[in-house]
Amino acid sequence: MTWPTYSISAGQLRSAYLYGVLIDRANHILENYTPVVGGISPMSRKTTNSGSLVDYCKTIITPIASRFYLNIVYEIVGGGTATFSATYGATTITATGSSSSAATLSIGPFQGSGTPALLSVQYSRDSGDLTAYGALAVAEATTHGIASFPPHADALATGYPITAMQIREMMKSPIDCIKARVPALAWFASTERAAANTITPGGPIWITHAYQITNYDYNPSFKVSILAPTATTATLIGTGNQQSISPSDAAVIATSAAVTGSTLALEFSGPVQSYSVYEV
Amino acid sequence: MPIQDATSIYPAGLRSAYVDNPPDGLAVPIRAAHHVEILDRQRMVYRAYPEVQALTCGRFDGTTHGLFQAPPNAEAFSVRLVCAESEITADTTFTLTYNSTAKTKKIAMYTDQNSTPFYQVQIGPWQLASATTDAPALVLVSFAVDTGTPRIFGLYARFTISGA
Repeated sequence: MTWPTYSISAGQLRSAYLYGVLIDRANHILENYTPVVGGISPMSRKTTNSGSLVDYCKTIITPIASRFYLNIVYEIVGGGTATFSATYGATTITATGSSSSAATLSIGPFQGSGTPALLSVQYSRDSGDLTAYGALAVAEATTHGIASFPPHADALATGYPITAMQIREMMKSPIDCIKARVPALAWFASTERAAANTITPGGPIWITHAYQITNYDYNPSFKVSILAPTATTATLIGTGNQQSISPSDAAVIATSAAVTGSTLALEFSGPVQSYSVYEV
Repeated sequence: MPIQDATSIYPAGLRSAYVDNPPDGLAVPIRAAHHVEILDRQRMVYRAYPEVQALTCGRFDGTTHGLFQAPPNAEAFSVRLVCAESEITADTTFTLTYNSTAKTKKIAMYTDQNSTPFYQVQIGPWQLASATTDAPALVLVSFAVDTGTPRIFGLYARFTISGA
């Protein structure tokens, strides 16, 4: 989308014109601002011949407050059907696919809880060789994701002239949009079949220039949520401070906020099952 | 910018024009600066996409894949691959393939070693296959190595964004 610059003249100060510009852009953002909020990539090391659902992996979803989908890229060679089952909170959704070439299967929607939470994925096939290349959890594309983004034209039309409160809502709504769809700057999920299996990431993981700071964030801060054994410590290092956390059990846990305006680094003292880095 | 109340935000310079030439439809007493700021903030939502997406991987048996999502208005991308130096036991060629276009990078044992225990290999760039850069798109990259099965600690995709 291009962002033309308009000069405002008296003749253009009409509801239909201004609302049209604002609402068209707002709708466009909600239809296309679909950040990754978690993922499993790569999803499988090899093709699988499993005929029953396998507890394959768990990934941490950022504190998204809007709905999201899990997009799985897969193919099944030799004919047959693959079944994918994803569970987030109390919701389990199952979908099937039978593409013989790489294709995307979308599972959802799931309603984001607003806190970091696990999404687990299982899969099987009835015949053929299934390869699951990866899966990304992606915020829903919608024109109705945030009720206040922006005030609806019909509602505004009855409120002539536009009020200061409505202007405030329109100015605030892009921030709400970002906060409701918290992108993951980095993510990982174990590809092992057994839930207890982990890997030891090499470190540190440097996230440089990974995020263009919105200019209304004066002190941008970030957190990492991890699922790891109790002996593992995760440390998120910003330019302003660093924060560490060790999980006390198998629950998802987050560090306190690390502040940085540029570089962010992540280190682990031991193995992890999943992590997700996001702005708070 | 402080937002003023509904009466005071009536643009003084435009008020006379409004009063003198009342529009046919509903008038909006909103400052041009407010309008511009709203548009700017909408634009910021797009800028909030990470330009770099970082994955962490385990050990793989020769071939694996990385799945990324290109942000809106992305034109091209390159991938940085990080692996363990101790597991590169011979000259090794890494191959990354996107949209049937393979690109390779060879690491010469010893000569490319540095002070860290990691190799970093930069491969790319690739132009995105889809001409539509308005919406995000999934990007699947396959990876292969000709020698050994080194652990791949991280895959970093950096996207080049056109002006948004």
